[in-house]
Amino acid sequence: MNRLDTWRFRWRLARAVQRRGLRAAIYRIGPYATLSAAIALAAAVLRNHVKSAQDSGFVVLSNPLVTPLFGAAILCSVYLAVASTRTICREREQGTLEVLFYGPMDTVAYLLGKYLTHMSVYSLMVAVYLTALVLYALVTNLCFDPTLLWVSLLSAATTSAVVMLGILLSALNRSVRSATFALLAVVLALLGMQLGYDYAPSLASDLARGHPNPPLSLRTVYTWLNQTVDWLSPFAYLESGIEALLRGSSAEYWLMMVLSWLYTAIAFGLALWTMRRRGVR
Amino acid sequence: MVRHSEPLSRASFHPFPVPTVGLIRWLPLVLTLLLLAAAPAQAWELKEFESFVYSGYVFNGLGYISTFYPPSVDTIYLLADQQNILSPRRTLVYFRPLTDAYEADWASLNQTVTGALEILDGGEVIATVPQESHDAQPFVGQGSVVDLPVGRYAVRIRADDGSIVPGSGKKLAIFAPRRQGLGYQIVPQEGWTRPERTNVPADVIYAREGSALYLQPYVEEEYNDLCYTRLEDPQSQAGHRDRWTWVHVRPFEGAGNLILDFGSQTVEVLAKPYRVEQLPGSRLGYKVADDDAAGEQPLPDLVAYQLFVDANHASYRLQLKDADGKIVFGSQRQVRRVPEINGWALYFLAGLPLTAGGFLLVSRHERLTASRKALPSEDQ
Repeated sequence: MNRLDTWRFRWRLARAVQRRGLRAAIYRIGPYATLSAAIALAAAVLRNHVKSAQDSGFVVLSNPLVTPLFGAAILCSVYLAVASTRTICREREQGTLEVLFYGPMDTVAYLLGKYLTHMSVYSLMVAVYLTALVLYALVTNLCFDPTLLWVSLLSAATTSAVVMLGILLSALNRSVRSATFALLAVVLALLGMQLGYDYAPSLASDLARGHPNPPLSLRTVYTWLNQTVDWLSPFAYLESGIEALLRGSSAEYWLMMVLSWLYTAIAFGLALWTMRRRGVR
Repeated sequence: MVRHSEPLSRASFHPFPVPTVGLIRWLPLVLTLLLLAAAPAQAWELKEFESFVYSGYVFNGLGYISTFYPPSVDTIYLLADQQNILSPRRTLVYFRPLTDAYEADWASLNQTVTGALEILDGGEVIATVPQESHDAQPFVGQGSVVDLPVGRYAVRIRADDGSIVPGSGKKLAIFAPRRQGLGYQIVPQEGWTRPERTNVPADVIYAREGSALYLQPYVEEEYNDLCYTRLEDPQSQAGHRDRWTWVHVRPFEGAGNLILDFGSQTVEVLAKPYRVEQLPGSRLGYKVADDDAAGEQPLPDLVAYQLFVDANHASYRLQLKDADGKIVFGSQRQVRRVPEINGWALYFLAGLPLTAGGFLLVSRHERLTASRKALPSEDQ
């Protein structure tokens, strides 16, 4: 079997894993609950915009549907991160991973199949969500512009990085519980740092209140942390990419896109190395 | 002519150096110290201490403002290619908890520090600016004029005896706007005191049907958020270095008509004078009305373009012509009518995925149960 045939065979195996995973995902309540939560978030944001315009006569908004889409991308990413973190551990715990590898399965095809499963789920979720946004735009007359499609494209890249991070954590941990805790710690830390940076100025001001000589500004600490998080968090890539898109800086947008795919590739490589070292038991 | 331009190369200038990763290692200790710093407030008394400070009279894009740089401020932010005045003083400084800032007790001590202002670039003195007397209001006193291109510098005062005045050394961050544009201030007919702004063509004006809006065009400049915040308030903790803020610097002069493009037809709107009436009775507020008495009063309250949002047009575009009849670049905006809807109805859609998922799960469960029942039991 030459190299091309090997990859063709792997691709067929990966597609088989993907189909199996997708079928299982469709019969789980998680994707539906996440979608409902994301659409409810959009409804809350849009209702607020409409109410402001009605109450004060007018409101100036730039891309009002981008914020809901950003929120939905974060929610879906977190759900898929949890799902992907549990995937390998659960099969390892149940022993199905070992059984699967008695067949012609190899590690690359297996990881690729898992990755494709979650990305397929994300694509379906985004498609449904965009349809909901179109309906909202028709009802409220808020502008549905092409920016949303670019945001969706970027969100697919950043979600890809999140999913692969989840798969890596899953490969690293032996039990579902430890993998889930590891993921929650990572996600909460990354999101916490990012949000902390946004709210740090007011927080720093509160901490400094009444103090004659605030020794160190919390904002400065968060600024340092934020710079680190900017390189580690796919959520930060998404935020920076959207800001660049709205600013019209296409170079920065594509940089975030490339970084996200690079992140995916590195996490894939690490997951592959870990799986091969740890084995299937 | 107002122009929108791509970010200038100098726009990427950030006055802060990138911190080293090593600092992250000390994070737990730093956070602990911060928590201790946030301990319950203690009894407080104002303590004044004599100190060297800089008093500034600086340009912020719109005009000149007075600023104060106590010892706690290590960087002075100024606009590039503008004449800014820095005046070295000795005064009594105290911390005022109410404003979270150090303030000067000028009434007790306000002494000019003699000497020349040295400007350093990369550790080398590139200019020595003597102090001059300024006697024109609003800035009166001794000070050195600082007019520099974008860059990162340092300043200090060299006394007449050749020594460096203690406490006079500070970093100097000189920044410039990233780009220029055309913005509008929008005043609703019944909310004159609360004007809104639209800064970029991507902004859409969403208005209720029947609204009348009044637009005033402004020349605007986009500045780094952190630099501009620190320019206006050197002791501020707010502002982000990776964000940008638009500042409406002056009304756009030489504006022609406002073009409203409805698709099938275009309408030109003239800028007209308006006056603001206080609403009578218990309805507190103001209302913008036509200036019928134009000519009798010296100046109208408002000169603006009036827009109506009616039921016939769900959306339309507007753009501004200059005095020569050319479209002003960056003046395009979209106006969209917001229909009256029940906001709670928007939540209906959110329930659909969960309902569909629940239906799918239940039907699958029933199908599996039926299949199990159809299987022959062990007894059979």
